[in-house]
Amino acid sequence: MIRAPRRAARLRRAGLWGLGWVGLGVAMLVWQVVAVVKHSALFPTFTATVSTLWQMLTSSFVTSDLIPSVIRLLIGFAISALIGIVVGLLTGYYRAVREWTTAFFDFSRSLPTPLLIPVALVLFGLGGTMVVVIIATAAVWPVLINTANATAALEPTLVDTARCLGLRGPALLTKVILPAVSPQIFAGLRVGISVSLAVLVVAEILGGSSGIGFFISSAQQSFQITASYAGVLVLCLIGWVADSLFLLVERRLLRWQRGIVGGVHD
Amino acid sequence: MGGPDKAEKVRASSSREAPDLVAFESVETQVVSPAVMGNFRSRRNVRVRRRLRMAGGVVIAIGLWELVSVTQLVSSTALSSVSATAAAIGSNAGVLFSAVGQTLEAWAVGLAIATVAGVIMGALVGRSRIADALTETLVRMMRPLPSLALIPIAILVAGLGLKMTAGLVAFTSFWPIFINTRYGVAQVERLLLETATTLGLRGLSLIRSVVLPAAAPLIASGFQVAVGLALVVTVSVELVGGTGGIGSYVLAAQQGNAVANMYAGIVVGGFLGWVLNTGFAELFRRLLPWANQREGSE
Amino acid sequence: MTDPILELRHVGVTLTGRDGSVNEVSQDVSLELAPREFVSIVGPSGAGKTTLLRVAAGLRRPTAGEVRFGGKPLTEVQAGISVVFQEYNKSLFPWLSIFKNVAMGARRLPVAERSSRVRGALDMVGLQGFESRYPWELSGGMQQRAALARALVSDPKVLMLDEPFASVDALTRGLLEDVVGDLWERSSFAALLVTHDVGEAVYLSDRVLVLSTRPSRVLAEVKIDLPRPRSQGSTRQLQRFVELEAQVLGLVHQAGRSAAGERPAT
Repeated sequence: MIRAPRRAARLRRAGLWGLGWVGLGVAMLVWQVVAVVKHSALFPTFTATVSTLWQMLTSSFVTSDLIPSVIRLLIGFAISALIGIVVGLLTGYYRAVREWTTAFFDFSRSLPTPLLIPVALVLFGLGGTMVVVIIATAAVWPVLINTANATAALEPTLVDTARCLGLRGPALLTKVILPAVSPQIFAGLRVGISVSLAVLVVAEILGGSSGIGFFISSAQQSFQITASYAGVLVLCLIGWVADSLFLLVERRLLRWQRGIVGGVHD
Repeated sequence: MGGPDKAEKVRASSSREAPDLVAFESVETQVVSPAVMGNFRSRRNVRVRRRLRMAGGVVIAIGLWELVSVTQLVSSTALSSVSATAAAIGSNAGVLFSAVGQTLEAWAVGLAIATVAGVIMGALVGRSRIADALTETLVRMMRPLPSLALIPIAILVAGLGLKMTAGLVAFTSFWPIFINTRYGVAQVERLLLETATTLGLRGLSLIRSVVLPAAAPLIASGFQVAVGLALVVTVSVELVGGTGGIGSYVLAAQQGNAVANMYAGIVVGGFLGWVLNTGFAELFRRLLPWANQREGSE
Repeated sequence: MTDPILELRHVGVTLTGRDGSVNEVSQDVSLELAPREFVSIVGPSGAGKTTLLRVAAGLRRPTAGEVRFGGKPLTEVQAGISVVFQEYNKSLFPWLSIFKNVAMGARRLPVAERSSRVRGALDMVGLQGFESRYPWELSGGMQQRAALARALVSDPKVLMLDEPFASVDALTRGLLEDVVGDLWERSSFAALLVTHDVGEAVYLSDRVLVLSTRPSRVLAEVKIDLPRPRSQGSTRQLQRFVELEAQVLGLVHQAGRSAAGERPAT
């Protein structure tokens, strides 16, 4: 009864997934055709970009730019995730904390983070630390706000039930509140990772001595346009891999949620 | 309820990209229950207390800033005092004002283009299963794409100037608006559509009077993400390209060791972001009163 | 007469809403629940029945008066009191399987006993074989059975039921009423049922208390002298049942009318 349509749905999903890749292929083809037709030094073809990318992956680019960037990304993002979740839970759960911090947080998260890069430059000088600080500062907000909103909107019945079952303090937090708000935390983390990636580039352009952002801008300055494009492509791939990993973890961890999203219960 | 129906719903929800649902609204979501009407004076007390606490938080933050700067915990070459920053804002008001104007210009032009393109394309793609699937992977690649990485290339291709900045802003802000519109249009309740059809609504009038209003809350939240994103892009281009505006102002101040001016620029930039964010949040709250029941529809 | 297991003494509740509004929900409600007794609270909608139950469960402190459980003042939720809420879809933890949900209720039991007790509780409510399902994979009635199993697994002294069958269809409701009735007959807990369904209250209870509208007081008490064991088929046919139902219904209507300005005849 249930099995057959489920398999059909899975097949159809696979078909749609395939269509998605067809769409991507079409986009690449358009890029290639436009580049060939325009024949401009400023707009390399897709194939040229990919072959440059291939060369880069066997060059010093990997150790001097790619790996440092990934490490900065991971550290900065981890810091922002930790702070965002902890502070988000606190502000969401305690109304007093929320009220004291609302105005200050509203202002802070509205401040475009790249504006802080000059300050970070003065404080930490050129290099990795400054990039990590900027990433953490920027990516903390989506995580924090999502966590806080979800916690504040927590179903009262759920908390009541947990209390009746004798859950309090840390157990209430880890066994009920955290799982209950985890879908929104994940949504915040996914936004956070793309924010991290974005500010990583600007920070490295302005104040890095290595990293993908630094690579892209120095390639541009020495008129190696194709390498510049390849650098952007690398970032695309990093973003895509990170996002896919997130989806994977999310699907496993939040399997229970799919039924609810699917509206099975009535 | 039959099995296929359930499978259909599950598929529909998991195949689509979840939208950027980071609510850019105030952290305190007000729940005003009309049923609970009571002692007016006491209700006002709670409201006053909240306002006081919010203001208190800001005062404490400013106090901490002053404390850190006075005690030289952070050296004065990196942090100016509150008073020095305020004075710098005062004495550079004219320059700051025109810098904000420049920033706003690029921001507004780019965002306007992104909104028109994002809503139209999102609505078209969202109404079609096939188009939706075709764009899925592309969107998943583009969404986390750091458009800021395109700044060096954009400078090269389009040169420095309003056209380049606005173009990059438009490109970046397009995605959250497009994604949310696509999702919002696709998830309009079938029941709502069927009801509308029985009422004789078809084609354009169906889209205008049912689909778009039903999707409006999601479109609005996509737009609000774009508002912040557009400002980040504008400022970043100004920082990297030195094209004027508040970003260039801050960088120039830093390079000239004018710490107070640097912080003046940051505070003004933050204030600009805050005004834009809260302004649009308030506007949408008034414009789309039915948006608040989104959560409760389950 | 034995000492009551649960006692509400002159309980008054005033709620302060999130927006600061103040609302007097109950004033001076007193009730006693003897061990093994089944008492229902009925009243017009908006009588603050649920709030009263939350106070009785220790989830909320009364603004006036006190609650005593087992002869001692009750100030916090305590082992020995279990609650089943109306909204099963919000009170079952969606991220846990049925087994783990019920096991949450067995947290205070020795580890060695837990698993067999959980199985026992699931058997009791007729959910054997559904241990590994998630709540959303079950029908509403089955979800409420799971919530019931979770409440009873710890062998409570008092079971509180807040409109437990309001969200299920009429047929399921009858079945669930019998499940609760049977369990009550076979076990040793006292039950406090809040409902707006007068027939249900009469069918299950030893005594029915009728509340007035806000601020609520106990308007009347009706002893239900129907023979036990009861069953849907026979009990509801009894002349006495019909009389009692009519009597309670009359009282509830009277209470509701008093809200519209008329004074209740006392």
